[in-house]
Amino acid sequence: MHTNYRPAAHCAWRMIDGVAFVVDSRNSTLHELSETGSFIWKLLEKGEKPDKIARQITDAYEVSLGEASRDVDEFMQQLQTYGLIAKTV
Amino acid sequence: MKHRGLTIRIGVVKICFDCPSHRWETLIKTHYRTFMAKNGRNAIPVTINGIFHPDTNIPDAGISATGDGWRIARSDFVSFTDKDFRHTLLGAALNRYSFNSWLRVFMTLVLAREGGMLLHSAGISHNGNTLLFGGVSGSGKSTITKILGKNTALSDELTLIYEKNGVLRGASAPFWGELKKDCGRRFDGPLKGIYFISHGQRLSAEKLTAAGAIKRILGCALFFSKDPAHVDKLLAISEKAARSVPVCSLEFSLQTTRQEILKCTQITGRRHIAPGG
Repeated sequence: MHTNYRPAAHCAWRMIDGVAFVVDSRNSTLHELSETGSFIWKLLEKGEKPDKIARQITDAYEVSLGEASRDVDEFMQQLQTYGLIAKTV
Repeated sequence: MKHRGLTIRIGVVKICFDCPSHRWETLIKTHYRTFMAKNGRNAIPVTINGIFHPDTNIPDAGISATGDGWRIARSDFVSFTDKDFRHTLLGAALNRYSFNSWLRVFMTLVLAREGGMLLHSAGISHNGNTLLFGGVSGSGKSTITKILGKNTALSDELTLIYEKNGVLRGASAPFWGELKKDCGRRFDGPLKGIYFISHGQRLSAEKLTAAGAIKRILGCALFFSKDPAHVDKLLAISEKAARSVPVCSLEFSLQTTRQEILKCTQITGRRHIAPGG
């Protein structure tokens, strides 16, 4: 079962031309996400769960569900490492 | 003896200083004379404390949240501001450099709340409008200011961007770099372009995408607050600038003339079509 995540409270962000620019207010660091990362971030912002995000990736890009799930998990780990997302209850 | 308040106006921001001595009054009147306002109506009140105890453990200026407001501190100044900006108490070394450094940081805090920003940029007034030439230290802000002429210069270091009635404006600020102009000239006009400069062999300009523009703008913003709401406002005004005015990279050489640069800005300005415009 997947844990649910949301953008962390200390982050502010904007979507510009499909690219997510996320600023961590704790250290004023600007993170520019990749195309797929921005796609995932947009869905995270809406409160979508990782498994649903993976399914939407398979719809948008030509990848298998297994591959999409792995990509989403990996990306979530990266976001967690940087403290850009927080687990939700 | 009671000293009267002195009010300065920088762009949209008015600050009224309650000075503890004539020496403080003289410092403000001398170095901010072109920014003096006639009255302190709607100004943010700041009380300067005549007694200051330096904390040498804070080498770099910073803003930290206290329970009910913000603390700005460096080894030579410290201030406390309440959340509603109804009161600020400042203790600082009595010299223009300490005071000016504090004012820069304080302005970023005020503008973060108002939705404006200080951009590392030289600026000029041209035909009633403002043109900004942004860049990090060493990119050529003072050099381009010399080329464009000091008479129309707003600053060679930091200029103010804010929004009024839906239109972005660029205003002068009393914050200078290499040229060390005492107070400069006061100007506030519609923002007609931001050019991120670099030294090159010849003059060339290239319009940036909105994504490229916001990166450059954020990279040159003077910003200290760690409040996510303030960061959100900084992103909002940066996005507005990236989308509503031409934002370009501009390469120039020491041989480039004022006329060539202005012609270049006119061409990029004409090509620019704002979304929905």
